Amino acid sequence: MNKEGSWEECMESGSSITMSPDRAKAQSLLDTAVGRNAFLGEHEVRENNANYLFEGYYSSVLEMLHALLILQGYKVANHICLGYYLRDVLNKNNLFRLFDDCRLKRNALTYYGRKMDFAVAKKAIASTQKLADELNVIIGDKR
Amino acid sequence: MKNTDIKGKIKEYFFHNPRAKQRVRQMERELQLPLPSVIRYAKELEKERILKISHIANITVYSADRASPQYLTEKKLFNIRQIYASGMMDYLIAELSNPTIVLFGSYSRGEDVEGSDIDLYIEAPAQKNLKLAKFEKLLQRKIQVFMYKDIRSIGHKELANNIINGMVLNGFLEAFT
Repeated sequence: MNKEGSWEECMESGSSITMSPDRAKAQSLLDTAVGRNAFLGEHEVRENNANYLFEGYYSSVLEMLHALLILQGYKVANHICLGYYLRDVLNKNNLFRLFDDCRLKRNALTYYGRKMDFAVAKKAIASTQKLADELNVIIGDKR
Repeated sequence: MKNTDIKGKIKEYFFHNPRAKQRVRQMERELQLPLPSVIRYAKELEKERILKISHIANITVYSADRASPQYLTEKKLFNIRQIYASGMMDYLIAELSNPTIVLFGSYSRGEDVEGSDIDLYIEAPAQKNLKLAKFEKLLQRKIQVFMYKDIRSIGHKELANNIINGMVLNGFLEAFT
């Protein structure tokens, strides 16, 4: 279980560390996210693939968040600290909530094999897409 | 048994049975506690305004002081602790993939009595049959679930207002966009 409860604690514990901003690495991560989303977008969301598509979209959100932090000069080791950056540094409480909900859903799926119902998975995919759109704007501003 | 546990046990009894009227000797028998301790802690609870005393035919009986703010605060906290301790939240979160859950109605206000329901609003994209019998038994109350996709889709204005005035136990309730 994560001990951190805030971005400050992530920095103190070493889950988040400072580094030199790396534009090339960030761009590479963003390219991967864009490529994956394009691939995932070719698939119609159905009952038998919604959970897997969600996992894919969530991975892309992670890459975008990592890219954002790399541009700001941070390396982050766990997902929850990525969320705390949104909440505590960028003051984007709504995005934190959205991301944290996706994180919990993804953890239930990945670590406990708890598949979401179709309607839940569809809504979760929509959340990841909303996150991706918002992150694109934030990343654009930070560049 | 620690003395504090005896006090807790008396309190818990009245939280589960807010309409009960008990003499100290009845408490002694029903809760299987030593009489001197029951006398002492019942008096303490009366001072704290968790219990109140009434006299029926010269006999002193204790009952929950349901009108006192102290009782209501403690009862509210007790109810929430009971919900988490029952495992119901873990079950709902796992079963419905982290839904928004709001506790509302008399149970959320600490005003519930023996026949009251536990009213839960669950925001989930799809309806699902939930197995809550186990939790009803543990919590000693019927559980009434109101499951909607979105709070804004509730046609019944009173119901929506009651939900908004409840307690969000999990997730985030978005009443306005």
